[in-house]
Amino acid sequence: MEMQMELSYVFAVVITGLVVVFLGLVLLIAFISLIGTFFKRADKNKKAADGEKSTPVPAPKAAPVSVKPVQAADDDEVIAVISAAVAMMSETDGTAYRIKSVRAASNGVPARNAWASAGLRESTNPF
Amino acid sequence: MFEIFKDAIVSLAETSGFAGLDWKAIVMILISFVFMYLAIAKNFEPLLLLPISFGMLLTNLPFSGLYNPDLFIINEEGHIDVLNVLTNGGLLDLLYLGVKLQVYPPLIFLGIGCMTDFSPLIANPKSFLLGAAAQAGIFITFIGAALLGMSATEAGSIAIIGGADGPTAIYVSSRLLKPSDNINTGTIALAAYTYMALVPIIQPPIMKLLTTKKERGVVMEQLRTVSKTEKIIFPIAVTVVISLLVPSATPLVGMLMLGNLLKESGVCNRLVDTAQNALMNIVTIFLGVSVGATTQADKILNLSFAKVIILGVIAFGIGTAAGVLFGKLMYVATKGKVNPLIGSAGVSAVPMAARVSQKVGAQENPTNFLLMHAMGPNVAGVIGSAVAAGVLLSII
Repeated sequence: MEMQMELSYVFAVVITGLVVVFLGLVLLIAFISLIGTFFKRADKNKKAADGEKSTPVPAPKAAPVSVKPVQAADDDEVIAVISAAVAMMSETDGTAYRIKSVRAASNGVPARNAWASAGLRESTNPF
Repeated sequence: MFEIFKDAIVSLAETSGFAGLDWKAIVMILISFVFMYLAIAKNFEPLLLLPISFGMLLTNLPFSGLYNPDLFIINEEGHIDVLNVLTNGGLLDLLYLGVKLQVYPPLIFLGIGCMTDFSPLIANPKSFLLGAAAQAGIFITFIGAALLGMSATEAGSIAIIGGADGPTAIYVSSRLLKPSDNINTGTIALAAYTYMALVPIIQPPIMKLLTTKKERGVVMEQLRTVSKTEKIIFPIAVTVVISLLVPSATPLVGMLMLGNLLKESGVCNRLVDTAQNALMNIVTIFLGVSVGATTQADKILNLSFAKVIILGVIAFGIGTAAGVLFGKLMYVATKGKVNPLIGSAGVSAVPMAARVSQKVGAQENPTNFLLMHAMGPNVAGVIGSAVAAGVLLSII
């Protein structure tokens, strides 16, 4: 049995619904933000108090190795690993591969570590 | 002797299911096979769609007597005669009492609460706005259903599909729908779970259509760490605020938050284990098979079911679009700090919708990690759809 609804009733339901949903969730935003601010402030005060309590320790002397050579060494290791993987692939396929260049694919954004990447793959599978 | 043998065979043939098979029952049985295939082979929400489709098969086998809708007719006092169901009902009638008396959906919410981490929402409470915006799908679909000439109870039950939350859809439709309506809880559940499984197909085109390449590529700031005390206060605060504002949402929100409090308190591990595993699994089987049993031919093979299917997908689409558009608004308001793609996760469908946001964002920038940011609106959507359900139950 179908009973036609008055258009005014339909719009009353829609407007009431949207207003109440937004009102409820805005109230929650206010409450959660307030609690969040309180905890952030408490955390900050605690850190400041901890900082005051600790006695200053002389900073250790910087290691004599500069950042750049370490970076270079890292790069060499990465290239060696990639070369080994390509050589292995070459052996398996029976095709000779040549590495022309090795470039980071991060586009300026720090690359995600292997665990995060695995988690990402897991969470977005199977679609 | 031959006569007795012949009579026995004739009598058996007349009382067998084959004698009761009509074209409607055959079509319904075939439809149940299709849904079983989707659940098993295509992994479409199998935990619920498989019991639902098997319930559909059982109920459409002639003379099985597992489910008798006549037992659930409202009496003069405005209630179903529970004693009559217990005395004369079949197995699925007894199980369906849990749906009709609104017991199962809140129990499922208890288990969901145990499994949900609200940290992304607590860390970024503005996500609540996206969870609220995505509920527009529910209310705009209500207008569509009304324009198609449906009754208020039918329109409310179809509209709640846009909440992308199966237990909420079942809860609302089982309370709103009357025996005189052309649709029932089974048809609503069938549409809701099918569309929830189709979230990865329905959402991405809408998300891409409504956002620019630049917006989709926004990398959001890392969320702050949330303390244990905040996680404990959150479920209590949500229960108090929402229950005071919309009392009819209390069974769903209250049980969701009880589950979450059990988890976050860290002192009820045994209860958490039971609620999120054994209890949830038992209730899921009871809910699925008994809701499936309500999908009898006269409620499916009619024009109203076609309307449910069409309006259901519209509800999902509008909910997604509203979330993304509100995300764009937040993108502008925050001067580009919010990626609008997380807005689509506000429709609920946890965690599938958040995974879709992640996936679409990663297509633009493979190093962008939107998943945790999208989980905020996603879990806010669960609360939002429970509130919307409460509003519909209060008004209609």
